[in-house]
Amino acid sequence: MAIEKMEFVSVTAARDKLDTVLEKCCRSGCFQIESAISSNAGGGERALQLLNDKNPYDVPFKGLSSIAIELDIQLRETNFDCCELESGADFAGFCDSLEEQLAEASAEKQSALDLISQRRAALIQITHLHGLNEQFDRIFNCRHVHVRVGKLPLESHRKLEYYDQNFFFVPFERDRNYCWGMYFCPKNDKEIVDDIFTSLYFEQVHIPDFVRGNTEEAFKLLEAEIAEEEKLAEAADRELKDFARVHEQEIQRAFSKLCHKRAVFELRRKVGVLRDKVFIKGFIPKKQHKEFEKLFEGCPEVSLTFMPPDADSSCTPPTVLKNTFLTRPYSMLVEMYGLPDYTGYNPTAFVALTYTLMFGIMFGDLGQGFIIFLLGLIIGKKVHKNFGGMMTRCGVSSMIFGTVYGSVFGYEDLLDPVFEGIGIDLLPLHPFRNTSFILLTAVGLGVALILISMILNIVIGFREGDIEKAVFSNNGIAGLVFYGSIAAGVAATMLFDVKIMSAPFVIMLIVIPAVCIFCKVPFAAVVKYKEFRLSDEEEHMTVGNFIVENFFEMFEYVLSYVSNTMSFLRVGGFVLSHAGMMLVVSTLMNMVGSGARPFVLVIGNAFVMVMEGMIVAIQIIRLEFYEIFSRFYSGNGKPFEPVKAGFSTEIE
Amino acid sequence: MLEMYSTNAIVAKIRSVYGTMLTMDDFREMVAKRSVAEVADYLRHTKRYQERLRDIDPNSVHRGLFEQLLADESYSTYKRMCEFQGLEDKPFYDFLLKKSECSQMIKLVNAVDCGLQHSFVQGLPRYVMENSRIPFLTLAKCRSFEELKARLKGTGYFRLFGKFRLTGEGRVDFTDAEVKLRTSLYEQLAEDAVRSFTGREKDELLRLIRSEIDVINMINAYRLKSFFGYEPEKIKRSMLPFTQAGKKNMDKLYECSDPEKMRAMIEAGPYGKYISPDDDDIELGLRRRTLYTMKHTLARSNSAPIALYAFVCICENELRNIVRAIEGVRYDVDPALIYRLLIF
Repeated sequence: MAIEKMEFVSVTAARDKLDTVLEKCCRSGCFQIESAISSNAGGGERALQLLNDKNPYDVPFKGLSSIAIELDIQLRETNFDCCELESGADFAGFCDSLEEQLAEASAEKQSALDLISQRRAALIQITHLHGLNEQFDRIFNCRHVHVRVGKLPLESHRKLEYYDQNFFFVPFERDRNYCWGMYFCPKNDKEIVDDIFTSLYFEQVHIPDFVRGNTEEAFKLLEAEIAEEEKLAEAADRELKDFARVHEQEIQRAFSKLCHKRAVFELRRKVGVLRDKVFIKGFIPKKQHKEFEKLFEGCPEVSLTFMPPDADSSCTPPTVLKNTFLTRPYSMLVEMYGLPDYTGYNPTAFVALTYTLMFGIMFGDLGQGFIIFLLGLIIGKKVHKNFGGMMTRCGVSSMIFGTVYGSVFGYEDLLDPVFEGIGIDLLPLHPFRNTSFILLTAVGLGVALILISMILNIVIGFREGDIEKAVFSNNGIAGLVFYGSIAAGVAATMLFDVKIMSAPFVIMLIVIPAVCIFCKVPFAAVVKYKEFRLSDEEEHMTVGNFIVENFFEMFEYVLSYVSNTMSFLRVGGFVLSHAGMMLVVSTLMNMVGSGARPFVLVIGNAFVMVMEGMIVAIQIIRLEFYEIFSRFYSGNGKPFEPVKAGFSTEIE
Repeated sequence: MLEMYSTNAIVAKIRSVYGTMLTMDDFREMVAKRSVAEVADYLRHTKRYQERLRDIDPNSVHRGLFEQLLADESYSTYKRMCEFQGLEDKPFYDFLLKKSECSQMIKLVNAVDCGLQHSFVQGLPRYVMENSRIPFLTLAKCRSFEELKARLKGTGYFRLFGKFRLTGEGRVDFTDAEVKLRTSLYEQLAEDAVRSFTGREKDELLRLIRSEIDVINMINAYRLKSFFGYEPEKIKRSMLPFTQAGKKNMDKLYECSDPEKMRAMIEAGPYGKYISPDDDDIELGLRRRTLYTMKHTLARSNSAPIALYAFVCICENELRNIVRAIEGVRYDVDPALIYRLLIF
């Protein structure tokens, strides 16, 4: 249960072998490519340039996609072994030949659609001219007046006041950026005025010749024409469908191969080039070293250099969590929070244990646990493997604690005879009869989990060589002693009536650790740098500032110790809430007739399972992330994403 | 105390907007596009510009208008930042408007002098028209420098225009006018900074302004030397009279006998490591260093005016990069070459 060991790989090859190398990297399924030049590279890497070639497969990709759309073919990944097309030019040729065959029907359809689109565009343009009640012909046929219709950017509209030429602009409508309208000027001044409006970014709207009458009449005429053209377009469409039936397989194969080639070519953006050599760098899992090396056997122009993962400071090694069968599903939660650093600690096992335990405690019911277990098996197979896996484990835990509580589908006394038969007097542990015990146990569990989290933080701190984190911080040794002593003192005094809070106890185990936490920065500086300083940063900090700042921090730490511990009361609270909700179900059952009872039992149980199951699951995630993870874990890791030439129909 | 919190709020806001700015990957995508329409479409889908460019048709929008919209967005971002904390009416915080007014005034003087008023009006940004108290559109109607000066009576520019050197033909000496206008701008900014802030905040702000002036001076001096062969005295007269690097150092630079020596001297200083041997001009390296300083300042400063000043400079650089990328794509320049000319 650790983190998969990685290796940094540098691939150097002759430039003409680049495609083969990238192809092999994709095929390996275990290579995560990194940019050959890091974003923050300094002057040293200037000689090495990234390949920024235009992708030759982009044009045929768009072409083939539009052909598929035109033919209404749903593109899907297909085996392309028997497709012989290779280069961008081959694919472009293939597209051209298809387009040639489609030309006639396509042209007919296109012409109809163009007409429709023209008419519709004219309709939209006329919409902006609603203030105009004059006949278009009369306006455009003026003998001495030049007219242009269009849109003018709003900033340009304001600039019109500057010009004193012989023209006027009539605005009809405004939107966020443009003012729609028309300008008039004498025909003699046409050139000058047109130049002025062009320089002001006036976009002319051509009112086509087919638009006649005034605005209202033009609307009716255009709509009638659109209906007629739509019929023609449908006829051409039928012809295209026949063509699609014949050529679909061929297009699917070509498109799948094109996608693959294009995706491989796209990887070039991360490849560095220097003269006739190309450089690719990335990471592979160490265990796949041999398989990866084997892929390049027999390629003398390609050289592989394997190095430790931290060999290149500009690349952060990715993190792959290594988990056992029992804990693997919980990696989903860890990934949700953020992966650990490559050199960090994998908390999945800890999460698996605590999550399962807390779920069982909060949702203890033998029958409902069994249902969750079964649902987990189904969901794991059909929907989501990890989520299903979590459900099965939580289901088993729920069954175990359900047995402890003696609860089966809300029947709290069903298991009493069994325990009596075995002779265990302590069980079942009926929640309502042991309220204080359950709540105190929940707090005790919380204290234990917080202490374990602190211990983990201390271990991680020492491993990272961070003395402040491991020893002096609120989650370091000082925090552990401080919090543990107070917890032990309170428990001993209040629960067992043992007076251990003596003066030496308080001074040694509470006051001194508190001072350490308060002065963690200067103490850590003394240990680490052998010098006294009040602040980590270069800025000078006064003693007054230091005291004020750390007083508030200390106050926050103490408050968080209390609030985090009390937060675990919810674990006990949900035990009672579950029992309470099932009590409501059983009361409802007693209120209805015997015929309806099974119905109420099933609905009631289903409701409690869905409602409470979800709340419990979310509350535990909250406890894990806020109360536990915040003490030792920072999810700054980078996920491992091996390169692949995936199938995608998206045109960027 | 409360003032400190409000400053933190605006700095946090600035940093969050900074996070939406275009990245190197965005520019890599942009320079690989085949047309300005594709670049426009790309920018339309970025978080930073999607709102401003939402209603624009990338296929029909004119390049000039498109660039004006982007500049407008930069100004809007700055204005939003100021309004967020109600700073827009406070002194110094109108520095971007002052800078824009100054650069428009320089263009106007040139336009009136050369009869290029139409071009001036065409390029006049919307935000200047809307926010400046100077009626640029009315001023653009002037047909001579004297008329322009007369129209400016009652504004702070009138006195300044009186000091402009005139040539024998009665035309304005444009270089002199530009230096005087810029000098006046930076005097005003420095005065605002001194009046409005104290202690480290004031010093840091003045340091930023002076460093910016140093870069302008170095670029101009290098150009005057290499393209026009100006003598040291003439170069000195064309420079802005402020410096962070020290008057002696700058004088030494101006006194270099040829551009190579000038470049070598700059490369030997703190700007050196930002100038690549492949760069034909030193401007890229100098601007790279300015950008680095501004990014560094934005990352570590908790002062609103300092963070805002640095942020605006970073926005200006982003805008310059976009314009350069658009020009490169428009004239079908090799993507790798365009990319090399961008400043990160």
